[in-house]
Amino acid sequence: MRHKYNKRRVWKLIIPTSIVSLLLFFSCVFLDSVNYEPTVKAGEKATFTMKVHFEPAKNVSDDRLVVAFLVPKVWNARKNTTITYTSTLYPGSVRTMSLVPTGTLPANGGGLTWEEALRKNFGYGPNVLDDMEWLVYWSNDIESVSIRENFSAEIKIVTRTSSENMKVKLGFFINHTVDGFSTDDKNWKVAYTDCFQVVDGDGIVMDFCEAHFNMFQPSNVTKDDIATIKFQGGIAANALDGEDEVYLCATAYSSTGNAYTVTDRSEKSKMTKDSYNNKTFSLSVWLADYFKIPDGESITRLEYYFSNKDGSKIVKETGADGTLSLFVTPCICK
Amino acid sequence: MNMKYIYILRKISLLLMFFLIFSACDKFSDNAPANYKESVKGLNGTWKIIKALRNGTDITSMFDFSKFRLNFNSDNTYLVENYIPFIVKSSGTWSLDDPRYPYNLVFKEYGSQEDLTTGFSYPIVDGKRQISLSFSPGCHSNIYTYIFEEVPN
Repeated sequence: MRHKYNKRRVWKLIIPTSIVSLLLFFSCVFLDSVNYEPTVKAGEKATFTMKVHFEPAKNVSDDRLVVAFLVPKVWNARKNTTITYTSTLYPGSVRTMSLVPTGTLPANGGGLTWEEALRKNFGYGPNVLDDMEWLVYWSNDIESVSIRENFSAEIKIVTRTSSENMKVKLGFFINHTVDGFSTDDKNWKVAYTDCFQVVDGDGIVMDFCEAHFNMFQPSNVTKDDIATIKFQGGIAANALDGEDEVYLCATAYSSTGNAYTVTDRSEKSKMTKDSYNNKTFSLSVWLADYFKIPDGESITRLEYYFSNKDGSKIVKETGADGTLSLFVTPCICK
Repeated sequence: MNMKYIYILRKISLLLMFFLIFSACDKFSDNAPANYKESVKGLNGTWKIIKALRNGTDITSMFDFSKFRLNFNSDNTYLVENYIPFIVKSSGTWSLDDPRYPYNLVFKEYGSQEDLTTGFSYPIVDGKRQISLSFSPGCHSNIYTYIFEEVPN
């Protein structure tokens, strides 16, 4: 006997199935705020407080809270950070978090580690330099959460800044291991600070927040690194507008006080035009080889400017008072 | 008569079932796992860089990696040609931390007492064997990963 097509019968099947599906897959994580002092003195501790709440839609056991934050590598935050949290699930109890063991894979990270998955999905956030890293922590306690048991938590991140002056937009991410960085952003949240400043430190300001005519990466180098120097002509009108060839004119200063200069505007110092931004030119060099630094000498800083082929048009750093000076990049390794 | 016939049939059926059950329960003999051995990783040959990452960013097209060659010899010596930033500058000897399941490749330059260890993987991609090595030739905070492919003879 054939079953008759019966609308009421079909809906009786569809509705409960849909509800069950929603319950299984619809759980929400909210990052309500990140509170912090906008400025900190170099070398001192900075505190960031994340306020989050959860609206779980299924019973969960064997779960851990996951928090990640995006920091400049030079802070060495992996060794200088503590994270604690309080939760309405356990009033009065301050709980601790620790770094997720190296190589740990989130359940839905597509075979990437937590750090790799965050870098792939968010990069370095709104920052213009990539010398940053995502550090991922999880709660030391394994949690169980019941369906419809909404709760909130306050996560306190204390980290020590480095000695460099800096402007940077720090990133904060919240998730939990049972979700494991799924594709549904209801289950995780990410947020960034405004331009956070480290002041009263050493040297020039490392500015992760705003693009400048020059960009040097990575920010920590020795002469045995491959460094990339960029001229970003698109950020403002400048003397090299319309030039098809841009050259790097640079001097490396060594620890022994020697200067090694390449300002001949030859093929060696010719920068490559960016294929998708015709006002950006870049040159990647092995510093020791490019400046012919002898064995036994290290480099302490680079000074440079950008020029057209015949040297008639150049772009240098423009100070607040309009004075021109060379771009300076310290060669540090921390 | 009928009862006796049924009784005999039952006995025969039971015997048949008994026979079928025990003949079906043959021992599962799969010797493969015991005999299987992961092959020893052979690196002999000349390798070139096909991809280079610096701190996770692809810099292959930004720098000339094309002339660099790494020659692994069967006597566990190696030769570096057209040096660019790498874990070793000069020739020496190499070894794997485990010949079948290696995680690290160990270099030792001639005249040096120091072992230089690099993270190692040995995947097959698009039917071709590759070597992936990670190291820091300059500042320790910069991690470079070079992916090599063998140069055909």
